[in-house]
Amino acid sequence: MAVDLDHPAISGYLARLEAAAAGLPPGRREELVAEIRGHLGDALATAVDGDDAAVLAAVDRLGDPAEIVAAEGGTQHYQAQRDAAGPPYRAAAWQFPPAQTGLGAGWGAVELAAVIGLAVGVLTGGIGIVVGISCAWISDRWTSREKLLATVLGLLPALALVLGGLTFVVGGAVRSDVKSGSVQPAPAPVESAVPVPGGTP
Amino acid sequence: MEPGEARQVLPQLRRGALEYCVIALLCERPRYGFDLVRELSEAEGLLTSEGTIYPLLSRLRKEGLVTTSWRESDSGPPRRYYALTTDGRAALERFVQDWTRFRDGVDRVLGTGAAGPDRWAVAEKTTKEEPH
Repeated sequence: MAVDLDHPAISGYLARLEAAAAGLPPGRREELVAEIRGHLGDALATAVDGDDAAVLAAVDRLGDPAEIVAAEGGTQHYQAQRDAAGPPYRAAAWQFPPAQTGLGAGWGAVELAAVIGLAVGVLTGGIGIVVGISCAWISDRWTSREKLLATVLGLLPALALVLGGLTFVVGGAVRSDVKSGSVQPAPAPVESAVPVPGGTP
Repeated sequence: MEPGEARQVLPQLRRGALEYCVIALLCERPRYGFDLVRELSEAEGLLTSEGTIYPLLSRLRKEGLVTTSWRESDSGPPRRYYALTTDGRAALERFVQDWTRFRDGVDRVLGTGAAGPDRWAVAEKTTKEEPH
């Protein structure tokens, strides 16, 4: 080759490249620097010795060392897309992952466990409800609103049981009262509607 | 869309297409880095920083789409040559199909296909003639 690769512009550039590539895996850094060095050798093969302009132009065309090293890892998003697509063909940058819409789109094992737990909660004596609600809050796919909804829905049967129990107790007491007065018993849920004699002043 | 956003489109398009252009060049015959750069620089705007071709080739190698070998050169030290693998050929075939479909779709919407870019010339003229 006609141009000496010990030219200060070249050695300076390679030094900057080496520094920028400090984070690359062992072996790859040396490989990359050697490839860039070989590239400059090829680019300047026909240049006349002492042609500083040609040297500077060749170095300039290579680009910023930081940019070259950044391309080594690829942008993380792009890399992830390629990995997800699997070999041998990778999704191009303008292809976007399918939008998650519709029922079940944001569901994984935790979310499924939450629903099953809540569904069989009553049958398992309340353990399912506890498990279901816990799973719902652990989920990283559901939004806070969805978690709250799962909690309310999960607690509804328990609430119904408590209310039912109260109604039974209160209703029983009222029934025994009205029985002594030989009045037809009112349906349990409306026991509060039974007028209390002399209740209004 | 802001003019700034429009400018960002080109790097994205380039990033997706460049590696398949490299693969396509290797489909003809094995090549070394500078040889690829020389070919790619013929297409304007495809390769902005020549040095980034080496990280790209390294990725293709890791993905098993290309293999490398060292060959003696007439002038100077041995060169590293890159050649396409069977997987690389399959990837290229898939991309050519996808690219054709993608390009035709965009052309149809923009009216920049075989029917010609005349439509935009007319549209531009009309806009300019309007008083406001």
